[in-house]
Formats: sequence, structure tokens, C-alpha cells
Amino acid sequence: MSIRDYGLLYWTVIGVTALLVASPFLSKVLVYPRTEFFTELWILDADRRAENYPYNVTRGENYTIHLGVANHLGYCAHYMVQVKFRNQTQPAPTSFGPIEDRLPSSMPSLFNFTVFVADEQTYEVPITFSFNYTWDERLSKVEFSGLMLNNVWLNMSGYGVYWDSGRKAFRGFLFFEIWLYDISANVFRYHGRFVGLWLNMTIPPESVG
Amino acid sequence: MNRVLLNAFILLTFLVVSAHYCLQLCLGVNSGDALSAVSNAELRVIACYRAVVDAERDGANVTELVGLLNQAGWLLSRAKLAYNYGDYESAVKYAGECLLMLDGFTEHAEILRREAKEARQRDFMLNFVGSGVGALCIAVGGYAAWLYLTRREKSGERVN
Repeated sequence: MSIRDYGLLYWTVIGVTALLVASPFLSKVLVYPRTEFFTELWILDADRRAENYPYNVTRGENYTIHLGVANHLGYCAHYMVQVKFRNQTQPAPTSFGPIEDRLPSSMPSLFNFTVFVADEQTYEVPITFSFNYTWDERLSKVEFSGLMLNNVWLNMSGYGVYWDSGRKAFRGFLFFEIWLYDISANVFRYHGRFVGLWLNMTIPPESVG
Repeated sequence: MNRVLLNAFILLTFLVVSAHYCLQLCLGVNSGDALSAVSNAELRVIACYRAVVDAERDGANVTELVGLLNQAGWLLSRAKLAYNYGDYESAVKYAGECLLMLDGFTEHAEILRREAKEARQRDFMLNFVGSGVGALCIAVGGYAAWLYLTRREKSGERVN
């Protein structure tokens, strides 16, 4: 038997061994580059499910939701969450068009809090809130005095929601806009994303004359 | 006469200075102090964030640092809110807590960054250069061994 008869076996063994040894090298070279850089933003209910979101709100009652942020930007991100509230007629953030062209709501922020998320990590913040409001029967309006958010009292004087006769509710939208810190410009810019909940401010029966 | 005037001046100065401090004590922290405290805390948070970005870029595990930064960020948010509501004492308190929490943060981040950079260089030498060169050696060595074996066989055949 000639050595050449074992040629195929020989070169197969050499090839497989070389590939095995080169695998750490190849794993670094043959990585498909990341092409999409984005942020995910979501709200879950108190049980971290997308099922039982609060809708009918009672004055002074606590409600819990979870606000989640996932960072796929390729670096540790510094976000600012702006907590805002609006009624049916007040301006909402824009929801259509390219995400970088979207605009935040012109409503003033009730509270800003920062969130830091490492690359490819998620961060969930439990948010417990309760509203304090009174009902103006004459104007058919709910007038807010404050919002308690994670034990932080936020002044809501001047905020109100009117009776929505179509939906038969005093509806207000509590929403969270996400802003991203631009490390080179040293400023926060709107990141084109928001999540929120429509809430019905219920009137206790004893308040109804 | 001059002595009386001097005494009166000293007494007046003392009263003015005392009144100033008493007022500050009674009224608590003023807006300037609060603004300065909040700005300091904000600058520190940004500096720490930059340190985390640098550490992460060099491959450090920044989970612990990010957790701390989130806690400090919450305190800073509360400080800013308190300042906006005119509660300067709380603003200074939260800003102080924030600064305290970030004490030694950038140094720790820098240590992590350096360690990660060294580990990355070791990893690069071992896994990238080492395995690439190793695979090349196997291929070249295999070829050389093949040439040697075939030549030896040929020369053996010629002798026979």
C-alpha cells in the first residue's frame, strides 16, 4: 500500500484539525455585523403580563404597572423617561413616519427620571401610581390635584379631563416618552418612542348628587 | 466720640452678620445652594455614565455599575423635582445622597475598564492570533509532512 492511498484520509484529518484549532479565530472573523440599532419600550401589568392593565381608576387607589426598556443601541444608553398626562383634546406625541422624525407631546413633563441600560440588556421599572382628583359636576369635568408616582408627589393642578360622551368616561392618557442622551452633544433628544395607558377616572357614587 | 462710633460700627456689623446667618438658618437652604448641589450631582452622574460607556467599550461587565447609576439617577431626578417645586432643602439632600452614592465610582469603572482591556488583549493573543497561527502551522506542517512522506516513499521505491 502506498502513502498516496491514504491521501484523502490524511488531508481530511489535517483539515478537520486545522478547522478545530482555527475555530476561535473564525468565530471572531465570521460574525455577521449588527446592522440594526434600536430601543424597545413597553408597559406590562402588575403581574408582568400584557393582560390586566388598569383602566377604571379610583381616586387615591394605587395601581402598579411595569415600564420596560431594552437597549440594542450598541452601547450603554442613558435614557430619560418623561412622565406626561393629557386629556382627549391635548397634543399627543406623533406616532407615524420615520422614528427619527417623530415629535414629543408639547405637554409639560410631570416628572423626569433617568434610566441607564447596558447594551443588549433590559431594565424594568415597577411604577405604582395613584391620582388625586375632584369632580366638577357643573362643568362635567374631573380636576386633578396630584399624581403619586413611586412615592413621589407630582403637582397636577391645572390638569383636567372632560366627559367623553362617546365612551361614557372621563378619559385621560398617562404616558411615558423616552429621550436619549447624546453623549457628543451633551443633550437629551426625543427618541421617537412612547407608551401609555388610557385611564377612566371614576366618580365615587357618594360624589354623584 | 470716635471710640463710641467705632463701637457702634462694630456692633452694627456684628448684628448684620448675625442677622444674615440667623435668616439663613431659619429659612434653610437658598435656591442658589440647591441649584449648585443639583448641578454638581448632574455633572457627576454624567461623568460616571461616560466612565461606564468607556468601560463597556473595552469589554468590562458593567451590570453592577449600571445598577448603581440607576439608583443615583433616581436620586438626581428627585433632587431636580424638589428644586422645581421650590423645596430646596430636599433638593440638596437628594443631590448629596446622589453624590455620596457615586463616591469612587469613576475610579472603580476605570479599574474594571483596565482589567477588561488586559483580558481582551490576552483573549486576542490566545484566541485570535494563537488559533489563527496554530491552524496555519497545522496546514503548513501537514503539507511538509506529506511532502516528506511521499519523497521518502519515492526514494524507497527507487532503492528497491
